[in-house]
Amino acid sequence: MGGRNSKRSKTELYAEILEVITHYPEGARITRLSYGVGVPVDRLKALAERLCSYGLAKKSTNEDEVYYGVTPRGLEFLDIYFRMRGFLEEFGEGRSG
Amino acid sequence: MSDSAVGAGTTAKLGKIEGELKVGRGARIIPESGRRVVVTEGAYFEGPATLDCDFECKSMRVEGRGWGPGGDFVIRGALTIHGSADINASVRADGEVVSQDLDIAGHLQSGSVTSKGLRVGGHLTTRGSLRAEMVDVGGHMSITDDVDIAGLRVGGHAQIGGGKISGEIKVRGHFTTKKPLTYGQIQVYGHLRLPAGSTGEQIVALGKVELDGDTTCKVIEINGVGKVRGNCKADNLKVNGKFETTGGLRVSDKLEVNGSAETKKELECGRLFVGGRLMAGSIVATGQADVAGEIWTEHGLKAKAVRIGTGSRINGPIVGETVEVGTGIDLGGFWAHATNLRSIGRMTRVDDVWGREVDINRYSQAKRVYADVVRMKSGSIADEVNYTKDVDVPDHTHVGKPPKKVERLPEPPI
Repeated sequence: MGGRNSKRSKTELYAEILEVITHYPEGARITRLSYGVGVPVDRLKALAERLCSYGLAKKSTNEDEVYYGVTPRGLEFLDIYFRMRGFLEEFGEGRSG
Repeated sequence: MSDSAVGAGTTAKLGKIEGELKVGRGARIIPESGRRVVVTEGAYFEGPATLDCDFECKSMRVEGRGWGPGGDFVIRGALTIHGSADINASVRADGEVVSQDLDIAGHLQSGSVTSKGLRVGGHLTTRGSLRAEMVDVGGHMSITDDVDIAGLRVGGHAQIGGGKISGEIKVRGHFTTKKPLTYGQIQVYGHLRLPAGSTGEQIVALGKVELDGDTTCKVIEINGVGKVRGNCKADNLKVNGKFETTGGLRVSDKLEVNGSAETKKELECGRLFVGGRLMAGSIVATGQADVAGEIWTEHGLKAKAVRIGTGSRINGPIVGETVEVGTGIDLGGFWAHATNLRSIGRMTRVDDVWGREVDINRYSQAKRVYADVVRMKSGSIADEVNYTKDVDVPDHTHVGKPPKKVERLPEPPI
């Protein structure tokens, strides 16, 4: 969900990375993710690694290519995040962009 | 069949290529004559390029090194791909995009899009219509004209001109449509806004829902806040949050209110379950009404059988063939627990009651009771009891006036 003008918080970035990964059920390569999220590959790699260390994303390798997927805990996080964002926007605290 | 190649950073004039085309990074392609460049086989791009023409090919692949400035794949015309396209870049096309299966890692900004399958990792912005089977967008989606889609999944917000989405619609952010939409099953986390004349199968809203004008939808589940500016017609309606309609509400099968629902006018339904609070001008249920919460009506509640749970409140007359006041009602799941907690230590209070058989149980209070048969339990209270056949008023029952046997009961108010 890149291309936005305002600076995204770390939580927003994590959610956006995970959300874009869910659109690749076959697994997402880091370059592909980079375009979807709008973050350069080197920075995205570090963020994706952190998501894996939190147990929200998982890594798999196929013919030397690294693919990222979302874990059940990651899906749970996304569900809670988007529900909470809906509430915060209702309260006038979230951002809708 | 001859394959052609265009070097990186060069400009090439092309017409019709019989065979495959390989294009280097940062190349520019211009048409030899007219506006169109045709490649009869696949077109392979080593990186972003600029196509100053309408471009047609059998399949397309664009390699990319990841997001960064100046990395867009630009088409200053229409793009037609007879097979599939795998594009590792953001795409900007001035004209229409037609493909069998389009997979874009970044954003897509174009005229109308027609593709059996469409996946966009970033935002999809279309100045025109969208025709596709499955549309999968990681970011936001904005389609100025109408859509004809079988299934839609959007990670951000979605805005469309109207049209038809026949299958599942899942939007993480807000979903708005300018013109009426015929939809399948909508699940929206953010704000959902549909104009008058929209019809569909199912709405599951986790955020705020605004339906402008008269609305028809088979299944509606409101978990956030829902507002219908007009009449609302559904087969099943479940309210776990707050729901309001300015017109009438017609639910042909089951209406379940665990949160709060309000309609200014008449409410008609098949079966009624109220675990929260329901307010209406009048309520007519053709089946059973189970109440474990509060109902407020101006003209009354009428159902075939009315069961009012312990600790519940009903303001406005009640009419039913059988009416039981102060009974145990199990709404099941989380709501059963919530309503049970709420009813602890509370009297069941109802207004006037009309019925063939009326039971007033322990710790229950009714105003006037009109029935053929009235059974009161010890510890119940009624201001007045009028009956035609039989009455049972045991000890420790409080009745304001002695029960009165009448030839005929007065007409119920509803």
